Amino acid sequence: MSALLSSLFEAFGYAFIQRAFIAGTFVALSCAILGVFLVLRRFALIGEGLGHVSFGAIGLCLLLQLHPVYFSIPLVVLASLWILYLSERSKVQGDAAIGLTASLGVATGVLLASIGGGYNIDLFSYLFGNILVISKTEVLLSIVLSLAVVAVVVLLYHDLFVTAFEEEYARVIGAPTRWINIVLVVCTALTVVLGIRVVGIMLVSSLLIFPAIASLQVAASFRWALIIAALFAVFSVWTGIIASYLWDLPSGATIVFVNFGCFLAASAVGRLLGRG
Amino acid sequence: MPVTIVEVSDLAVSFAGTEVLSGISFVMQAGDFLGLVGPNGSGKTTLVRALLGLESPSRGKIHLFGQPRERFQQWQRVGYVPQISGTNHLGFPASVREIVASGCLAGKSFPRRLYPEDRLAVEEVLELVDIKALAGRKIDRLSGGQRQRVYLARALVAEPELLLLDEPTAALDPSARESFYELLQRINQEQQRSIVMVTHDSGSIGRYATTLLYIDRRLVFFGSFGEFCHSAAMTDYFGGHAQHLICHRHGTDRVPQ
Repeated sequence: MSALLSSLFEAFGYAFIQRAFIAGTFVALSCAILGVFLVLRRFALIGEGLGHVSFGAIGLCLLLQLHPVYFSIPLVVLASLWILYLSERSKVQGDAAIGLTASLGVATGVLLASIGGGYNIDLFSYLFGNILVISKTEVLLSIVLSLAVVAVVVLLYHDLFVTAFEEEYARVIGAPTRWINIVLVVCTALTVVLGIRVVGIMLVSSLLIFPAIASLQVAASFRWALIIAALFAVFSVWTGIIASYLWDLPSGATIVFVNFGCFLAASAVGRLLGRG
Repeated sequence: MPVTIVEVSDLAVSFAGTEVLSGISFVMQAGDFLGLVGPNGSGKTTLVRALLGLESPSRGKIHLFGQPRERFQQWQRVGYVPQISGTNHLGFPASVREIVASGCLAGKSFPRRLYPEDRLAVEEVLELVDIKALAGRKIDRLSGGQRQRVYLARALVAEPELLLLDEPTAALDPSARESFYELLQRINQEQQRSIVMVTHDSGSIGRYATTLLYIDRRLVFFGSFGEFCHSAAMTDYFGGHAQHLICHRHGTDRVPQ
């Protein structure tokens, strides 16, 4: 036990662990809060879709020798607006719009990887992420963008709530539902790009979905659903980072499994409370 | 002097080139309780959606509180209770109080916030519709009748002058339905709120509504129940037996001779 504790103290002495904790906390917070809205709007898989798009976007950035995170942000934001446009304005259903855009993203990444040749290893390292190698600038970007996302959610809380609950009613009472949807998908695109550094392209949607569905098992009100999702998300990231350091596990996958553990625990508690 | 709050002239609504409503004209005065009745697919919900600005007319005009609907912005004057089904909002983690409070956003400008007076209004309306004891409960844990009262409370909390209800009693058992009608009648008579209620229940509505609007993709009848029950044109349209069935539940004086 004391060896474990001393390993833990030692871990917190490393700058890369500190950076992982700070970036992970902020990204987890914004993902969890947005995730509640996305899950309730039946739009949870947009995270998965945008993650796949970012594969293509990062591939393009690597080919053009641009910073993969910074320059993929506008591309993924555009993809999120494209998905929204397809699902709202055309005859393509929401899930089909996500699938279609995701496939195009992956296909772009694979094509570019094939053309570029030399950077394949770089591109594929983004598939599973590694929060332990996050840079100082990326930490700063994570803090700024995550705080911006949380600020937007706080500012638009009531409009987001009423739109999530019943979009048509929201329109009747004058909520700008079209803008609300745009804000929601753009914020999601930002958090997805940030989340890729935490858990990777393949697992990024788990940061949006797991804390949200875990909180929905136990929350008795919407406000509490957001708070509980945020707590689950931060707990999962912290525990995942510590476990991956202590037992030399891949950090992204470990975080996902802790999230899954939280979901199972929340389901059990929800059943006990009669809410599950 | 009667105040006109809704005026619809020669309204038509089309979907993909097909007219689902045409030639709808009626006028509603403040304090009216209008029963909007018609068979399935007759365009009742489409008419309500057109009044709310959720559907655009292909022809005709709608005026709300004297203003053309396209320019109408005072949505706090209109409360809306949408159609619900048993699976609506299953798993949504919202409490009754949160849902009712969202009705306070009507008419507020960006950024919309709730103020202490809104919280007070929520408590008052919970009392009015008799669901104060449910305030902390999750919406998906309520019965159909309780949920319908929650949506009514949400519509009432901004103190609208006009309430539009789309088949609010469709999922209710007969006793919950009667109690809901009585509540609406109380709101109509004691608070002087005007009501438009879409319903299939053409028999019961006659006991509570002051006016009947019967449509079947076009206007079939608009007037009082007394006029409806004594109208020879309606006897021809429905047949004497059907007209009698609609009329007999609110008194023999309205049964056709």
